[in-house]
Amino acid sequence: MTIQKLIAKSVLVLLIVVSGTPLQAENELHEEADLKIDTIQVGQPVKLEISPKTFTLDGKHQQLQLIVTGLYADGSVADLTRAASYQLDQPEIATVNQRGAVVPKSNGETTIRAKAGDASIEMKLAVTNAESPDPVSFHFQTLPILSKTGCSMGACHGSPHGKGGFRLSLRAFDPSLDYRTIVEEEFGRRVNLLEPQQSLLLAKPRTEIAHGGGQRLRPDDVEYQRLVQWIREGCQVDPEPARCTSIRLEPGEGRFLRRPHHVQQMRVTAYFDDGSKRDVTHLAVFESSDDTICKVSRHGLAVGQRRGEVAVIARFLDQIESTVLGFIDTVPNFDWQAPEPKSYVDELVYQRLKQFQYLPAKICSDEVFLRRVSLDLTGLLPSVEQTEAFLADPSSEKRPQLIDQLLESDEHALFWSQKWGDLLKLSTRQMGHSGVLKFHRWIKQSVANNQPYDQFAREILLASGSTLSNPAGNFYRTGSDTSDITESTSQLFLGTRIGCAKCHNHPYERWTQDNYYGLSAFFHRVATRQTGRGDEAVVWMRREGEVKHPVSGQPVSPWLPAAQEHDLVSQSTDRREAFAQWLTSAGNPFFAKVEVNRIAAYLLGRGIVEPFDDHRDSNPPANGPLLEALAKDFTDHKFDRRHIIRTIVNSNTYQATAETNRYNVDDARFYSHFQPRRLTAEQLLDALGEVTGVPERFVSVHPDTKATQLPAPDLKEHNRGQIGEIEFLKVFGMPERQTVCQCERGTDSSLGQALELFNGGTVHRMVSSKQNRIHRSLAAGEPHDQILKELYLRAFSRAPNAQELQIGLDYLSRSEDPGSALEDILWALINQDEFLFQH
Amino acid sequence: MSFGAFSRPWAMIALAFLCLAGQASAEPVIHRIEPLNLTIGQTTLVTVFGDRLTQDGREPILWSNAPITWTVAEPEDPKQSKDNSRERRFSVTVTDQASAGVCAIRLANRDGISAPAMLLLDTEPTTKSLRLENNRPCIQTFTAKQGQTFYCEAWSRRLNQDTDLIMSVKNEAGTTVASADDDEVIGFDPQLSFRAPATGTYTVEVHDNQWRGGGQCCVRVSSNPLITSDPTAAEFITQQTASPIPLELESDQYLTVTPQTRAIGSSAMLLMELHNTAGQRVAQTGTGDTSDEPLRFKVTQAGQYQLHAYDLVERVGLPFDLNISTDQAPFVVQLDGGSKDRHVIKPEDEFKVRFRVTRFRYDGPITITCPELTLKDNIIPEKRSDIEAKLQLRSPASANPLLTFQFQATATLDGKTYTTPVRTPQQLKRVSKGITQWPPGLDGTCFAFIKQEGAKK
Repeated sequence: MTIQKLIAKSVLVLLIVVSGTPLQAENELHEEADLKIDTIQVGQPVKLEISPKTFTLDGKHQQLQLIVTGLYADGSVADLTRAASYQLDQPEIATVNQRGAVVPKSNGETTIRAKAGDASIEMKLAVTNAESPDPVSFHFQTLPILSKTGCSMGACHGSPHGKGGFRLSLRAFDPSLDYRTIVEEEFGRRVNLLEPQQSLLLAKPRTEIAHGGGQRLRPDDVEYQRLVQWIREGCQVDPEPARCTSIRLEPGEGRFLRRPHHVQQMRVTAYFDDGSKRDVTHLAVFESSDDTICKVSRHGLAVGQRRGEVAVIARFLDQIESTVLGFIDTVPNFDWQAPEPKSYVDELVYQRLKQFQYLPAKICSDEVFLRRVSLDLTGLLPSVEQTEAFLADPSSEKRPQLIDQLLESDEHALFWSQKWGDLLKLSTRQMGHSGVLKFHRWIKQSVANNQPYDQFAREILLASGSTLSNPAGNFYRTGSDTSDITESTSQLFLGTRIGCAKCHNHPYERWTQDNYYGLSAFFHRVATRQTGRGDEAVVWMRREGEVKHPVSGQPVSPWLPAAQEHDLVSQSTDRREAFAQWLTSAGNPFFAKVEVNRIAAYLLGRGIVEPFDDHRDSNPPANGPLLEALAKDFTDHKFDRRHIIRTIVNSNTYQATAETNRYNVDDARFYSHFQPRRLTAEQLLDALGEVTGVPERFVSVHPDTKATQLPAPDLKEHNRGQIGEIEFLKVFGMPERQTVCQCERGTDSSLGQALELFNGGTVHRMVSSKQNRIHRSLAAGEPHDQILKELYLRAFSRAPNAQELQIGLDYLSRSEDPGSALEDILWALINQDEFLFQH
Repeated sequence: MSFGAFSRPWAMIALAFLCLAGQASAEPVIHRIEPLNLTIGQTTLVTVFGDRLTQDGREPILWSNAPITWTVAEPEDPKQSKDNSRERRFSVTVTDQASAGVCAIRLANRDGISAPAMLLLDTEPTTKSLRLENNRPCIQTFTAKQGQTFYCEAWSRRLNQDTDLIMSVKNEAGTTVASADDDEVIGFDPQLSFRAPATGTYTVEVHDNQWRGGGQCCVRVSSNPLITSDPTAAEFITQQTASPIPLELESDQYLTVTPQTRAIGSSAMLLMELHNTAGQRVAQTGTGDTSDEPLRFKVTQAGQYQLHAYDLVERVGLPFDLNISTDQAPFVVQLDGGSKDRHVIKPEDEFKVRFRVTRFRYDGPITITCPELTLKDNIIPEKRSDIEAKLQLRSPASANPLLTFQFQATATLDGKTYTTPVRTPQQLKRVSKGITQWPPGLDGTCFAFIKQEGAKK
């Protein structure tokens, strides 16, 4: 390298470090160009708002992201941060770049005036310590940069074992470990204090040396420059760093942006325990909960892609915050029409549909309703007699009457017990045959008696003593240790998948590792032991024992979200009492919502929060007001689950047809139409048994037991020869119940399922049995049209139309063997979507 | 199949095993008894179904731990062969002195003695002995007046049946008005107290948890339960609270605290802790095990100790009995699992039995004795855990060829003699752990069928 080139390079580096602006801006524009931002139409805002109104930038490395919002005469709002022009009274104090970020230049005070259209607004800015030495902070710059560039994320060096021998704590969760790893480990070869650019820490992400993670930094990135500077300054670590206690993401919730105003600049402010606050927008990591609706640039510009709602998530160090943004498109020729709402469910659903311009579907026919509601409430197809009676009933009240009748049935209690069986992991492997049967009977009794949900949860969580006389205690046999029980409880009753926080702060949620062990402390003393009396175990609370924090090694006290000190103290030595008391209190922010959402998901095919056991700020509900209203109704009705089921099933929303219209065809989120879904494995097996008249038999249970009423998936100990039926259920997604996650139940379609239906053993046996319904009808001399009509009524809860009937009769008349021809027709019917799906 | 295979050594060993196994299984086996209940003070015709019940046409001897008299009865079917070794009938009379509850019977002949089978000794003549059928409930009906209280009890698991029963009471309309599953005290046998809501006929339905057939049960409906627990009648201290019990203990004493809960009808699960003068826990037992395991402690420092007894799940007011003793032997001796508690011998025969000891901080020798037998090699040496003793009848055989006897284990330590009965291996595999009404006289009793000189095999 020649002297001239060296000088030139030094000058360039100096330019970047001192000003940073030209290259930085170019880089940002290049990245955000990928988001396909349309031209922002400023129009004529009646007023501008600017945030913040005043701010102090303390030190030359700090920045401030402005947010300028235009308010329009029609009530709409638009983010004009990048469309506004900025003027400073004292331009030597700071500069505002193209993304509305203020960069300090010298100490002093100035007014910044933002102007868009004919409107303008001002804010006051002060800059201090701009000329003072300001070494790069390891805690608040180096680590956030490594997080922002993705180095410390779970898929890279933040994984438990790191990558390529380089392991960072996930999202800079453990700064001291990261410092040792970067500066001291491997004989300090990762940083080169003499030639910082040659440091392995920089050469790898620059891809000058092979890097599995690809290029993460370019020399002209401001992040890169900060890292260079940090190494050049001797890799200093802050002696007594302030602790970041929270971050704030702006704008807050409730912002709806109508196209073409479909962009929104975000700002992140960090608050520290020394009372200071800093704008960390340029250091924060941004994500969108749904990239198909909205993408967020690395500098916090949210860009709507299509109509819908998303959560924008910002992360700085171990802090996480999210906010919800709505993007609205104007749909041409949209004319709002909806049936008269039957309850608050319809009102709130219609409100949301109107807002996003989706047109609700019409109400479904009686035939469709009967089949749908029977499958949802009992898991079974209606019988021919039930169908004929319901269709012939002229009463306008027949739907609510049918719902009440189904809710009172034994089949309802058994089918909904199976849902809880999935969640509570009822399997012989976990609790033995007796344990399963007794726990299942306990659950069924609870459903049949419509036991209030808070009581149900309390009885499970506070269960103690013999599992024979108190089967709810089997819950504690399903967990291998305290962590397992904590995670199951959290997912079941708080709707939170807290497992990540066992090893590090949750990457997508506020839950920290401290929170995890604080919650575990409630269950740490729970002990179980087999007694040797059959499948009996005893559950009890030990009088001593504390859960220890894996990092500090110190005992952790019980902790609950948003709980007061006195909430954490149990009246007895059983700590679970305090937890159960907090959980089931009317003010609990999770408990009621999680259950009503679960019920909504079972009935509507999709939770208001989906997945329905994954409630978190970064996974917003499709209809927050509806979730709130259902939860309030649930609490007001003393946690009456049947009331919530009845309310939803009686609504237009539930009774909407599955057929879409041109205005809702792309909606799968806001309940504008019913979402068809494949029958569950058990429903399908029972439906096949009902249609063919050859019901499946199971061992270890009463012979009349249906698949939708089975206590557990592994009750076949006495009859290995019947493994084939189990295979049918497994192929169609019956869960093994190894986790409390509903995701274990398969809802997808597969080649194996198609083969089972085309020529699988179960279908073949049922269709070709000489004792099946069609052969019995033939033997009894029933006319062909009557047999066909019954087949349709059983399979689809409707009579065949004239064309279907004629096709069937023609086929029968051409056949030499009517039995064989009817088998063909039966086979064809059960392979139709109308049979396989709930619609 | 070629006989050549048996020329190989392993095949010969296998054959020898088969022969031995065949020889060992010559004893009578009881499969089923009809009925399963006997009424106290009455005579009942009892049919025993099993294998090898007779030997060379000779009737078996019936033994019971309960005060009964018995005679061989004519078979129900007169055409039945007297040599039918798979079904025998007895006329059994239970004397008035018998206590209600479970009793055991065994059958003995010259080929051996059967494992025990259990029967219910009942005071209620309406109790029904029923056989479970696949997928169908057993039924017992009764009439009741409005407000009348009945106790419905199922006895099955406690009679060594492989069942797990569920009971429901239905009214004339078939509606379930009461139901019961497991009982906290007695386990798998359901029982319930039922107050008739209306005058009429009621049905008690009982079925297995998994709807299995084959097992047997007794369904009892009466105005009083068969066994009424009276904890205050126990001879031991009854503690109604969890307040600590002070114990003044001397150095080198062996403390044994034996709890009783289920046996007195209590569902308490005792957790016992012994604290020393400084309040430190020095011994603990009962963490979830419901078998009323004793707390044992060897005192190394004399002083005042505190015995704490809690219910494991912190319930209060449940009764329990504690037998607190410093006289109990610091060891438990039982017949080794491979040794039988029953033997067929000639009067002059020497036979062998292996004893196994579990020691509690006592390493010294232990002597096994039995008044009816002469024992050789009957001292378990210091620090050893087992011994094989040689036994022989002490006196000439009596007219009754079935001899019962018990072993005692004795040790002397610091001038104090500790004696404890030797326990026998568990013969009732289906009976759950923690049974409340264990038949007295079953554990510890050994049997010898004495073949008289010159008798025909």
